[in-house]
Amino acid sequence: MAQATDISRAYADQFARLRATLPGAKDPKLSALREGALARFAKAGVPTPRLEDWKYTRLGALLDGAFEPSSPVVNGIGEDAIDALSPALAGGPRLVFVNGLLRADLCCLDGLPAGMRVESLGAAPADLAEALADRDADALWSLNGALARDGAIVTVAKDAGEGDPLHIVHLARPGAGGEASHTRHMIRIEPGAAATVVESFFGPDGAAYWSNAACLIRVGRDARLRHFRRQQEGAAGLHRTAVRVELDAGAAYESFGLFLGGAIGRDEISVRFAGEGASCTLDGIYLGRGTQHLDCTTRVFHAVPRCTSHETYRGVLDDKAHGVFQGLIRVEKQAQKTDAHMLSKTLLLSDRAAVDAKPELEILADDVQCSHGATTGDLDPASLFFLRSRGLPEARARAMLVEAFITQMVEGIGPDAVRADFTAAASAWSAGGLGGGMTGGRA
Amino acid sequence: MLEIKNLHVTVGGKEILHGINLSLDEGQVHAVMGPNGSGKSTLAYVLAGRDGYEVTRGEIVFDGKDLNAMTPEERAHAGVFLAFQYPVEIPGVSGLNFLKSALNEVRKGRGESELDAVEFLKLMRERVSELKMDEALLKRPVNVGFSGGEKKRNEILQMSLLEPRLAVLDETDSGLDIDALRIVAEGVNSLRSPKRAMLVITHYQRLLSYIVPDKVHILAGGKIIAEGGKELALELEEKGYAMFGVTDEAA
Repeated sequence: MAQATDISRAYADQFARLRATLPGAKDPKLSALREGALARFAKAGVPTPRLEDWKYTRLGALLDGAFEPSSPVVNGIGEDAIDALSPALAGGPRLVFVNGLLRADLCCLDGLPAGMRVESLGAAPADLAEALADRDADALWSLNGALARDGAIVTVAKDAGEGDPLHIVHLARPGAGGEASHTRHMIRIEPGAAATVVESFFGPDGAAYWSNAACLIRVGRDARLRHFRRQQEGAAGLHRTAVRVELDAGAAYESFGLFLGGAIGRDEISVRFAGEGASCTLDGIYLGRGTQHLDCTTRVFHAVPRCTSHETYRGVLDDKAHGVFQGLIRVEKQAQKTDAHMLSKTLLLSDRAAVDAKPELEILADDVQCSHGATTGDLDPASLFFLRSRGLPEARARAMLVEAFITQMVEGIGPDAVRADFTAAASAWSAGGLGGGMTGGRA
Repeated sequence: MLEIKNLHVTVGGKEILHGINLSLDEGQVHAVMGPNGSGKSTLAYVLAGRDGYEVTRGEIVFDGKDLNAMTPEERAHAGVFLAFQYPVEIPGVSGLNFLKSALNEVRKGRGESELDAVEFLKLMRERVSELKMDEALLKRPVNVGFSGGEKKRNEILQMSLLEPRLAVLDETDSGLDIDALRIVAEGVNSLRSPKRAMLVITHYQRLLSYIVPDKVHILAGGKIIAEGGKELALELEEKGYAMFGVTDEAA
């Protein structure tokens, strides 16, 4: 393992090389913002399991050396290739980032919902300071802020009705390996408006690469955002998404994540209630096999009264896959009438698969409804016996129950196109053979 | 068709059945009656091959084959069907998908051709209407949100589709009101056939007024303690299990 200081120095060198080309480079205020972010990263370094927050997730190759900025890719990818990744969403409005850089030729803005405005990070100087905010950041968010070359700024105008989902596609095309992209998005839903955004992450198997995505979300008074994430990085990919959400009074935020790619994946979502009567649902499902490590970390901060947060996460882990679910709910003293529930269920299909579930409730208010629950186990033996007694061979009965466990989550997805897209991705995972652990010594 | 010889069965290290003998021919319906805890459900599960129900002595011969050497799915293909006392709910699996998968696996196992979607739906609709079931129920996940009667009818529907050689009905009457009981019993009776045998397991005589057995076996303390014709069930109804010197925990 390289010295943390060497890694920080290497990123500082990258920054020095890139800084003149970064969005906002000519604005001294923004430069200072980026320098500050870089300094905060340098001070903290790449997170290690010594940090409480990262106890269960070791970032592998990120601790061995700095990842170089990924190179722009200009050819070799057509619209058809992007369509094929998400057939159910093809034809709808979309933005495509290849190696962290917007590829205008692959985007489609024809069906953009009325009231939705989309800009790239480089084309929105007025919004950069807000988008690059580094308050309460962790080291990887800060590194993203220092090095972000591109991203999407999505603004939905006041009272705009919900249109088709906007699909933001992230595609990695690593060269030699050891390359990283740091996209920074900002989504703002103005009061009374509604929108749906789907983020997808894809990459090839083979070379190791790192997607370090950050997304800042503000949902205004009585507005609503439905936010979907599909993480399907390549087999050697490292993935980290951090989503930070702030909700105004009466706002609603619904998040659903499907995490099934990468060697190491961590999806982090933090929600802060800034106004009363707001609500969020955070749902997710992680599907791991081989030696995959998939981490879902959520934090919900109830700082004001009468807000609701409901979280349901499910995992299916086979072979030697490792899952992590960390869920923090903090209810401040003044946040009375909070309604906060969290549930995590994991299916372990092999004796060597494991999950660490860490629910954390910090409740300072006294008039609240809060709960959490976590279960881990094998398929229900009674259901398995029932199906086999009806003639289904054991492997097929198991596959049917695993698929049912997943289906129960994805069938609740609202927008038809997104449900079709996520269902297809989850089914493809289920059909991808249920691994060695499925047949290993289980009578 | 079915020969159970000196069957000893252990569950969780404890012997529950202590040497059962029972033989059942094609076309016959036998009842196994017994008080709670007598081993009735153990007998049902061991016939269907549930994990954890271990045959320590004796044998079960079904159509000349050693049933105990077969997996639950192999038994289903061979024609064994267990109607569960407590049908499980399977959220996330649609009833239709389940029925079609089960039927085609069983057909495959019997060397018959699989049915395509159209053929399956036609057959299924026929059987559903015979059982006076609401077809909409089958679009729901298996047994989820079903009433007790609907669950039992769903079991009989599966039996009717899978056309078993041997049907074991484990307390099919439990939890049913008289109307539901009549519908379920009519369904079972309509499936009586010279090629099919049935083992009707029950605590009470009530069900046997509708499904009239050829023979009655009384199971108590893991042993068959009496056998007779259908009149034995009536006598039992009158006198209670005490007539055999056994106590019934449920009474």
